[in-house]
Amino acid sequence: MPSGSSESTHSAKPSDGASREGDTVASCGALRRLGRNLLDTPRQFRDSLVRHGRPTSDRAASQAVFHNLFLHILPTRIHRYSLRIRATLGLGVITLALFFLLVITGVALMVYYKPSPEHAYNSMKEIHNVVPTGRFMRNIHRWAAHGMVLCVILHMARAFYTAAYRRPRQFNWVVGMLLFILTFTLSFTGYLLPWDQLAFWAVTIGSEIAQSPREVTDALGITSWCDIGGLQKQLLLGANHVGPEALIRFYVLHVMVLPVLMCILLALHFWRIRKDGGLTRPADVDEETPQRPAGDKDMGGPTANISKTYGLMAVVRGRTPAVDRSLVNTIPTYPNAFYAIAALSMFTFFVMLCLGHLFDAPLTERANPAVPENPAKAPWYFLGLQELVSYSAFAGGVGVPAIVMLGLMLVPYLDRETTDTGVWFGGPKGKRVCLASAVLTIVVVVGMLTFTVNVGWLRNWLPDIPQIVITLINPGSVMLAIFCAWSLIITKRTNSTRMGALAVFTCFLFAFAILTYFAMVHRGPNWDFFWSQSDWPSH
Amino acid sequence: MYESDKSRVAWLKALLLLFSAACIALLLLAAFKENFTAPWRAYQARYAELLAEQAQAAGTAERDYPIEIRQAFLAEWGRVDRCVTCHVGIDNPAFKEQPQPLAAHSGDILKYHPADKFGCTICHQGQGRATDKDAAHGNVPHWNEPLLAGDFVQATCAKCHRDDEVPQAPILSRGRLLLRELGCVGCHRTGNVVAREKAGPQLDSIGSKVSQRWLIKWLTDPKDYLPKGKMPHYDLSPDAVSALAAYLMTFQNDSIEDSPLREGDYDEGATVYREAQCIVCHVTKLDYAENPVGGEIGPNLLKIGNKINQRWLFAFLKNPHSFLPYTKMPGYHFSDKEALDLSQFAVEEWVDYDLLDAEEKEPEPPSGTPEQIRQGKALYAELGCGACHRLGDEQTKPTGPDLTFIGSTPVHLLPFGDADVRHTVPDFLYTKLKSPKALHYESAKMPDFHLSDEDAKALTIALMSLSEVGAPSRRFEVPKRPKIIFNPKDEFGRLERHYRCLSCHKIRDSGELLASDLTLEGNRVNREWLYHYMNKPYSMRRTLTIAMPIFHFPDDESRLMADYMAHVFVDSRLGAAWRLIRDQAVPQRGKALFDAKGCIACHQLHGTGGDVGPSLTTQVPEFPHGTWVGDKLKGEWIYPWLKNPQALLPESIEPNLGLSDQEAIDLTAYLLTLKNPEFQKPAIQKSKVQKDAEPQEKK
Repeated sequence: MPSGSSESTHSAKPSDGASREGDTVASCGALRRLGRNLLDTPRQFRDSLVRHGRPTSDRAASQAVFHNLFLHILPTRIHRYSLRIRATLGLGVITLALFFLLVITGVALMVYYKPSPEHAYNSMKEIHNVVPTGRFMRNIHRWAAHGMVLCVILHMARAFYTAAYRRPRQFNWVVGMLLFILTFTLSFTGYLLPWDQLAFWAVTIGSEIAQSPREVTDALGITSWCDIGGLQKQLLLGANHVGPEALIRFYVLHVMVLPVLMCILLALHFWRIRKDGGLTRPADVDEETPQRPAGDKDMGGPTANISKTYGLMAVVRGRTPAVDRSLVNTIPTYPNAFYAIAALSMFTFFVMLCLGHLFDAPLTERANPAVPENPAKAPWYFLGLQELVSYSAFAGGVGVPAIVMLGLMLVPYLDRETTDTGVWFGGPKGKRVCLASAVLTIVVVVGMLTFTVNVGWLRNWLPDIPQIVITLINPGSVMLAIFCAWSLIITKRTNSTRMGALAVFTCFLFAFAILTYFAMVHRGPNWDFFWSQSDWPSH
Repeated sequence: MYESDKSRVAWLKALLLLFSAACIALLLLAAFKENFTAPWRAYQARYAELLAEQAQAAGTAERDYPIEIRQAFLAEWGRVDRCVTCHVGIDNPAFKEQPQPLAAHSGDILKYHPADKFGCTICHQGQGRATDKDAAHGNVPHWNEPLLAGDFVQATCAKCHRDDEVPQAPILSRGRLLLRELGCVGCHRTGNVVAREKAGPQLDSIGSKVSQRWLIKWLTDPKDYLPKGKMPHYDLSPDAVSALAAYLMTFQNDSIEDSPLREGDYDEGATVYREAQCIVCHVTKLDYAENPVGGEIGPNLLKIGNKINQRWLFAFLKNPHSFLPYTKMPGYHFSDKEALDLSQFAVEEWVDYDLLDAEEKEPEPPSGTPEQIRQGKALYAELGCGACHRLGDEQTKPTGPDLTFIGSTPVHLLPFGDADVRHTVPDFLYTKLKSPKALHYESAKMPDFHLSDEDAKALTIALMSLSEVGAPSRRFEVPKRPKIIFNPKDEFGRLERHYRCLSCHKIRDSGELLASDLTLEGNRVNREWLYHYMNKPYSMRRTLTIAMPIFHFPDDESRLMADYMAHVFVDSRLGAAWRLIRDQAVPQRGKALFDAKGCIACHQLHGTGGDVGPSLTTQVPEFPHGTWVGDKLKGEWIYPWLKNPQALLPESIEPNLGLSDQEAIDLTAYLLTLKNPEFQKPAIQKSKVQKDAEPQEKK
């Protein structure tokens, strides 16, 4: 047992005490003992808290990780490559740090927030104005929420571009996708809670999207007995309009259901990282094994013994730190990874605290169902979808995103190549494919937007066209089809599923970015095109 | 561990330390900002300091003044007003002279609107929950109720004071009056502000009334022709004006068109003009400084000579109410000759030299083509002329935006365009009212009223008061005072409607206060005097230029009106006190008091004395009997009047001398002795009204 030595020290202590007990006189000894114990309590408490001493060797360091509930989510040893910035960009850690920050500030805000339409807005005002540091807390919560959405997207892109979804990590990629959706949902449910105009109308847009399957059922003429859209909206809002029922639903989802799900899935996500052999790294990374300096005793050398030891500690699949020479390139998680994670988390906190001091979170007028916002815009991460929704609610709000999400989840099962795992873009060829895909996406999306803004879409030429045709053929579905076709072409030409996956992912990512930008900046009242907000009509 | 690992861990530790320290610093900064930097803490500290100084000066013990957030919680209004967190001295009379934010509230408004019940933002608007200046004053984005500056605070009185007229908010009341009088309510819905009749004249016989030349000039720019007129400037093209004029000229009155053209006597007309006291209501001449002289109740007559069709004027003078049912113009008993002479006087006296010039130089404008008439009709509807003018049976709908809740409209919904004004609702309204086309598109329909700054402000305040934000419960509402509309169905009512007494006199809540209030006329004057006065009115004040027109009432009418007023316009409670104690009066003591108090400084007695108040011994040639105060007034009026003139007539400038009861009855008794020995009570026949009233009095 690796922890045998420390446990034996622990077990030795009670026997020490027992022997002292025998030595002392019973009458006055108990009181003296009590006094001595009292004096000795701090040290005893520390020993009981941290069951091992200061880690002076690699082994002790591994035990430090292994024996700690909070640290044991980390492996005891970590590959040297994984600590490089370029391996992960630290995005997972930043996301997790933001989630921690959101939980802490969120709980603080919950103390003062009242989830009812009469009081919600006022309680926000109270948080802003009189709750001690309330505004600061809310600012941090708001900016951290936006930051987390952004980091989740970037984290996913990193995982994708380094092919981290491959065997044995396919399922963890799926878990990651679920976390991605969960993050969006958490952010969206939190959006309604301030009960201001911004929140109210953004959620109204969201609920319209939830209702959009009705577009299809209407076209098929089956809405009367199979109203999926209406049901979804009812489930979301608990009423026909955004009101008290919707608020309490969003509140429960935001503060309880979704965070609990999030924690469970996060635990699963981290656990799978360990079980799937740690972070992805290029196959050839161990070829550049550094020379061990003379006199380094700690490592003990790459012997069969050690590989056995680690095999007991962590039953892992595939290539593990414990086999072959990769062991040479592992270093103890504590202190190497531990301090990196701690420093990066603290840096994230620092940035968020700065933002909290510098920028106030928006709080517009109290929600007023009688005064629609024009334009009513969804939260920024849904704006790309809203742009597609403006052509067809179902295709933009449900169809296209569902296909994209499903497609991305399937990627690990479709791309089963094994070469260049852990290499950014899979090498120079992949870089070229990504670059070409980016250029293609910019041309297609900008072209499509220019076309629809200047010329219009089917409805403009054929006013009597059935809606189902537009549901099927709209800018969103056309772009999706182009991207899929492009991906297939790339797959065929490069004879590589990996290249096809890179192509389609790059297309999605850039299309998302461009559509989001376009809807954020160039869409004005009535969802008309404007070069800038200063050109908006005044009425 | 390798050396490289060691040094990296050292670096990471250093970074961790650095960022941890930075985070702690930022958290401490938040705590510091929270506890030390808020400006309201400084204000309260200053307040505490001043309190301590005052306590020291007064020699009283200093009291500890805690520095904390202070607020008024208004449960019913759903508001929390923390204004007092900075404005701590608001209810401390000793801080009247302090600069803001420590100053005490001006006036005694807090006495009637206790802060614990009304807070601050109910009246002043702003954001009560905020604790920093800009946010609290509402001068931040996304707050729709910015602090109301100065007089604009009157707009919020309307939340509770539902009456059209709020005496404590004169500008609001004036604005609401203007909303009605300028015809705003014709084009816009304005909630509970509604008009009884349209703001402009009826146009049914306009084609017979005015010349087409005048009409074109008028429609082109009414404000140029008549700066004080109500008609706004529409900025129409010459073609549009011609079309509109052509359309309107088609509305003719056949009986006028068929009547013969006759000529009257100018000089005789001048006499009629003087007796009828036209000048009381109309501007009819210019003084030496070219300022218009005359009343503003009726239209300005200075230039009507070349506007009006004399045959129409004749018919109008004979029976004004058949042309303009809602006019304030009284019905006179003009004979055909008098009416003809007066119309002759009018067209010769009040010449419009511009139009005269045009008449001589330019050919008569051609009568409209059918196409023009059709265009004019469309234009009439498009411009919403029907909002202010009646024309046939045409029904009109409001053509302008609904303003029922304009005061609480979110500011971003208002069409400011590129106009360089502050984006607030009052700024929008004021700018729009001052120059309707300035704000946004050129095609704005609203015409230009050429409002003065005061009127635009009053209207802005009245519009601001049209808000969705009202009192939370009836408990706060000051109910509308029920208006006693004087409109009896009896013979007196018929006479009133004919002579339009209410155009100048007030009876209960109806009418205007241009002349005396008749509500208590029966308490005030003797019936005999009234009868004489109706026959031959005169002015008791030499300084007054206006007087009652001479109507030449038939004898039975003046008798009936005198009796009616003497017996109906009475409050029996008013005379009770006087009747109880009048026996104890000593007129001699009253005379001494009259001399001692210096009444003669303002009132004339036997030809000596001041001109400020009415003469007590009037002698006028038109009224050979003369009337002295003892002949005219009743003791039951003089007594309470001397005690407190403003209780009976709030506008009166008569000083309240603070007389004791005894002094007042002595003085009253003395004044009642001032009777003209020449004055003979005519044995007038009792009218039906008096016969009915007498037995009641005995009861």
